[in-house]
Amino acid sequence: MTATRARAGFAVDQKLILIGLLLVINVFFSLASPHFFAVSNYFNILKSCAMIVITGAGATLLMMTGNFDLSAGSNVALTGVVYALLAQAGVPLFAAGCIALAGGTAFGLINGSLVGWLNVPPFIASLGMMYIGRGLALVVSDGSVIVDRIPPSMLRIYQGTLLGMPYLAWFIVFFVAVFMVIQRRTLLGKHALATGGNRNAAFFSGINTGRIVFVLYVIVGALAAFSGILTAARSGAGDPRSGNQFEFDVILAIMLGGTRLQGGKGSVIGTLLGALVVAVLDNGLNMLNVLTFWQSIVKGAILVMAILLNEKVMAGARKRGLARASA
Amino acid sequence: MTAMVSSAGRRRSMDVQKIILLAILVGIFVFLSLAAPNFFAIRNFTNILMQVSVIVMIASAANLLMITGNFDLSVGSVLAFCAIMHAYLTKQGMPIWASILACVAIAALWGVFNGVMVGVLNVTPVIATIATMYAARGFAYLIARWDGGANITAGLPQNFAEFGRTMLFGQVPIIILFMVVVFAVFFFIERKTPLGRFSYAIGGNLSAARLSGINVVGVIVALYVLVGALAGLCGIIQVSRVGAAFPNLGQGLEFDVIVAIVLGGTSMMGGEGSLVGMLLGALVVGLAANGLNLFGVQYFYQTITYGVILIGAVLIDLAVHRKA
Amino acid sequence: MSDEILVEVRNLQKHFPGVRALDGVSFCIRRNTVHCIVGENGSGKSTFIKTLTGAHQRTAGEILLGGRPFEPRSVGAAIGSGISVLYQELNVVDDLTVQENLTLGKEQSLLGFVRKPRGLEAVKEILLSLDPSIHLGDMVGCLSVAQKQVIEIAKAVSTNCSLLIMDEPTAALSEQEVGRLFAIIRKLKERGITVIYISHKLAEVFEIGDVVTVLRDGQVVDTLQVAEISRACRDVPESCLRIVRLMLGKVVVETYVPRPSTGPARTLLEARNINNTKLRGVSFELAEGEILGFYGLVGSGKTEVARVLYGIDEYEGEILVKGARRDLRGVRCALGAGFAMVPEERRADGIFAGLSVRENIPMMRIGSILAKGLLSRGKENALADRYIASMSIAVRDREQKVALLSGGNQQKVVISKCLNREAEILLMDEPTRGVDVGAKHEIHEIIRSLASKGRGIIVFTSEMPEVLHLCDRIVLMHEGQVGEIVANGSPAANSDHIMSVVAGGR
Repeated sequence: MTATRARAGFAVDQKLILIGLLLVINVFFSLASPHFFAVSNYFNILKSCAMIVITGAGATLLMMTGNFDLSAGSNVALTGVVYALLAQAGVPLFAAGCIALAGGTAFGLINGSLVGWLNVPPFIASLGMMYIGRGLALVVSDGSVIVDRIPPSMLRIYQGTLLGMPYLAWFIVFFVAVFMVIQRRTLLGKHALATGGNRNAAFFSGINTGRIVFVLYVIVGALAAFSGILTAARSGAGDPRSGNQFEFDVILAIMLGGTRLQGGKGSVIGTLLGALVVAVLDNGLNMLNVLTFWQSIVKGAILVMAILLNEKVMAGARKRGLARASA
Repeated sequence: MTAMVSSAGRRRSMDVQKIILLAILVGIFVFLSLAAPNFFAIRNFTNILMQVSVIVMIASAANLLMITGNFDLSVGSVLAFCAIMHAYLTKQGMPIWASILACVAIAALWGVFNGVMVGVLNVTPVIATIATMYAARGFAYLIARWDGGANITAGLPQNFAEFGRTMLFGQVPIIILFMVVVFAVFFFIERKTPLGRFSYAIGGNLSAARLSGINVVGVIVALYVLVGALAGLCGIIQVSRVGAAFPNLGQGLEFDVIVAIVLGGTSMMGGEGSLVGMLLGALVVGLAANGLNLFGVQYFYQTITYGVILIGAVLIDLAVHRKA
Repeated sequence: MSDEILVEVRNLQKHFPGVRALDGVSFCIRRNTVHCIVGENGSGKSTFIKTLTGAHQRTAGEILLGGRPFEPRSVGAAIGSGISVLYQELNVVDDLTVQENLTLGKEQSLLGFVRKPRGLEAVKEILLSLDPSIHLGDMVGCLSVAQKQVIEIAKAVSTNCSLLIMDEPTAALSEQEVGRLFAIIRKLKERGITVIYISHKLAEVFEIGDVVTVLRDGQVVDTLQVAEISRACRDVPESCLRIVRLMLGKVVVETYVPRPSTGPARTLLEARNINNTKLRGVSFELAEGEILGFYGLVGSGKTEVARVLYGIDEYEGEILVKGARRDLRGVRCALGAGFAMVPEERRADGIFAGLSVRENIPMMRIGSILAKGLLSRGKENALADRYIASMSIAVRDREQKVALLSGGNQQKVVISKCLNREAEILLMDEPTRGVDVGAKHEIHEIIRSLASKGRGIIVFTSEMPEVLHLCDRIVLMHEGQVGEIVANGSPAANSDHIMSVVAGGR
C-alpha cells in the first residue's frame, strides 16, 4: 500500500558500483604488486572464479524466483568424483563427462521436485541434498582423492587455450551470454522474475510457477555438475571434499550483483561482476602474501556490505509487523 | 499464524513424533545390543554421549531460538574461533580460567552481532548468521596464523588439557556433565522463565507479542548471545580435551544442530518445540552413527543418512501441519 | 445498460465452523452496470467475492453466470470464465515493464524466446484509452499506485473479462486519481464490461454506482437502484444516511444508565490536534472513571486513533497523560505511559493460538505470576482461574489451547490478558465483535466496573447499541475527523442524529 519509489534504477547503480570497485582494487593491486597487472594473471583470476560464475549464472535465475540451492558444493564434489572414477576405469573422457553430468543433473531433479512440487522450503531441501551428496561423494570415492591412473588429458579442459584465451574464459563468456539472453529475452527469464516478484500476479497470469522452479533447479544442478567436472580437471583428481562452501560463494556473488534474496529483479552480469570482485580481491591479497586466511573475513565484510546495499530490510516483508488498520 | 487451528491436533502430533522417535531409539538400541559386538559397553556409551554432547549443548539454546522462528548458522565457526582463541591466549601466558572466561565473552559478542542484525536490522537469519560464519571462521584461521602455523598444537601450557579431560568419578568425561547441566538449565529456562515464555509468544504470533509489550529485540539478542556463548564453550572444551586447536573445527556443526532440532519436532516456523524431542533426535542420530561405526560402515554413510533424515523429517512435518 | 442478467446468486450460503459468513444471499447483477456491494465488517462482502471467484467453495445455494450454473473449483477456473479481480494488494510485477506485465502469461514466443507481440496494438489502444500517461516501456515499479491499478485493469480488459471485481480500489488514491478511476470505470461500461465495486466509502456509491446491494450479517438487506435513492433524497449525505440505516439495521437501543458520579474527576488523557496520514485535527479528553466511545463507519478513523494512542502509528500533535506530555513512540512506550489495548483483530494480533488459556493471560504483565523472578505455576493457575471465573470463559480447563475456543471466548481471553496489565487507560478496539449476546453483557459489566474503580476506558466500536448503552460520551468520527462529541443521555444522543453525523452530514 505504500508507494514504491523508483527501483528500476537500482540494479544499474549496483553494477556501476561494482565496476567502480573493480577499477579501484585493480589499480590498487597493480600499484602494490609488480606481478598483478599481467595478462596471465588476469587469466588466472578468470579461471579461479569460472566455476562460481558458471553456476552462478543459472543460480541467479533461480534466486530471481526466490529460491536457492545449498547443495551445489556437494554436487561439485560428487560429480568430480564420479568423473574421475570413470576416467580411471578407462571410460573415454567425453563419455565419462556426460555420465557425470547426468548424475549431477539428477541432483537438480530431486531438488526441483522437493521445492517446486512438494513445497519443501528451499533451505531444508537443498541442505538435505547437500548432506546426501557429500555422503555419496565420500562413499563412492571411499573417502580418498581419486588420482591414480587418471589420464593427463583430463587436465586439458582446465589448462587448454583457444585463440590465446583459456577454455575457462570462453566458458565464462559463453554461459554468461547464454544466461543473459535467457534472463532478458526468454519466457523462462520473464516468468522467473514474475514468480519471484509477485507470485500471485504470476499465478493469476497462468504461469506454472512450480514448473519454473523445477526447471531452474535442474539447470543449476547441471551447471554445478559441469563445475564439478572442471574442478576435477583442475587437479586431475576427484576430491570428495572439494566444493566446500561453494554454494555460499555463489550466493555471495549473486547477492553482490544486485539480485535480491526474496526474488524479483536479477542480473547475470551483476553476478559476474560480483564474482570478479571477490576473485580479484583473493588474487591480489594472495599476491601481497596476505594469505588466504583473510579471505573469510573479507568475504564476511563484503557480505555485510552486500546486505546493506541489497536494501537492508530483507526480512521485513517476511515478518509480519503490526496489525493493518481496517477501520 | 502457524499454530492457529487444531492445536490439540498439533500437540498430539508432537507427542506422536516424540513417541515415534522414542520407539526408533529403543529399536536401534535393542538392535545394536544384539547385533553389534561392542555396543553394550560403558566405553561405547560414553563415546556416544561425548559425540552427541556438543550438539545437545548448542541445540539446547538453538531450540529456543528456533522456537522464535530464527536460527544460527554460525555456531560451527564460533566454536572453532573460541577453540583457537583459547589455545592462543593460554599459549601467550594467560591463566586458563581467565582465558576461558574471555573466550566465552567474545563468543557472546558474536551472538550480539547476530542478534542485532536479525532483531534490529531485520536481516534474514540465513544471511546474517552466514556473515558471522565467514567472519568467525576467518578470524580463527587468522589467529592460528599469528601463532605461526596452520594449527596450534605445540607450546601449550602443561595443564591445558586438564579442563577437557577431567573425569568425574574417574569415569564420566566432563563434557557429558556439561551437556546434562546445559540441557537441564534450558529445560528450566523454557518452562520457568519469562524468557522461555516470551520465546513461544514471539514464535507463535509476532504481532501479538509486540502488541503485548514483549521486548522482542531483547529476547532475540539474548538467545543469539546464549547460542554463541555455548558454541564458544564447546570449542574450549573440545580443544582442551584434544590438546590441540585446529581452525577447521566444527564444520557443518550448525546443520547437525538443526537436524537434531527439526527431527525432535520443533517447527522451523516457530511457535512450538520440544527440548526432549531434540534430545531424542540427537540421540537417534548419534546411535545410528555409532551403529554404523561399529559395523565398520564408513562414516560417510552418516552424512547421507543425515540428509535423508532431514528431508524425511520435514516432509513429515509438512504433511502433519497440512492436515492440521 | 441492458436488462440482461450476468450473474445471479440464489440463496448462497458459506458456512465456517461456528459462523455463517453468507446466510442466504440472493441478488442479480446486470450486464454493463456498476454494481456496488456495501456493508460493515463482518457483513460478508469479502466472503462473497471469494466464493464468487472460486477461492472458497460455497456451502449451499447457486451461482449462475450468463444463465448457466457456475461452480469455480479454483481461482484459475474463475479467471478462465472471464472474471477478474482487482485486489487491494496490487498484483503487478514491479520489476517488469508495463508491456511485459500486460502480456504476462500470454507472451508470443518462438522456441522459448519472447517475440515482440503482434497484437500489441489492441493492448496499446486499451491502455491509451484508460490512461495516456502510461507508456508500454515504463517500469511498473516506478508507477504510482493509481497507475498500477490501471495496468491491472488494462490487463483484465485485454483478456476479455466480462466481470471485473474491484475491492476497495480507492483506498490508496488521491482525490484526483479517484476521479480518473471513475472515468475509467465509465469507459469500461462502454466496452461492455460489468463491474462489481466494493467500498466502504458510501459517497462513491452515489458517484459511480448504478445498483447497490447492502449486506448485513451474511444476508442481503436490500438491492436498490442508485438513481432512485438519489432522487428521493435531498443530497449525497442524506442518500448515504439511507444506506447507513440499511447497513446498520434496526437499532435496538438499550437505555443508558448513567453511572453515579463520584465528584469532579481528574482528566486522565488529553489529545490535542492529532494529525497523521489518516487523521485530521482530532482532539478529545478522557476523565478518570469515564467510558469514552469512538463511533463511526468503516474508514472513519476510529482504529487509527487507537493506533496512535498505543504508539503504533506516528502522529503530530500533543498527548498528555495526567497532565504530563508524552511522546508515544512504540508500543512499549505507550504501555509505560499507562495504556493497554485490546486489539481489533484477535486472531492476528491478540491471541497466542498455540498456547493455553493459562499461558495467554499473564503475557502483558509477566510480573504478575513471578515468584523470585521465576514463573510460578501456582500463581499462574490462580490467575487463570480468577479470570476464567470473572469473565465466564467457557473452557474445559485452563490448559486448553486458545485456538480451540470460540471467537467470543477468545475475545475474553484477550480482554483478560489486557486487564491483567492493570493499566490506567484501557483502549478497547471492537471489544465485543463476534461475541454472543450473553458474553457481550458480561463484558460490558466488566467495563463498567472498571470505570467505577477510576480507570479511564476508550471503546472503539462500530456497533451503535453498544456505544449508546455503554459510553458516557461519544466521539463521532467521519473520514478521519471528529464530527461531534455527544454526551450520552443528552438529546443529541439518539441513533438518527448519530447516524447522520457519521454519514457525513451535521
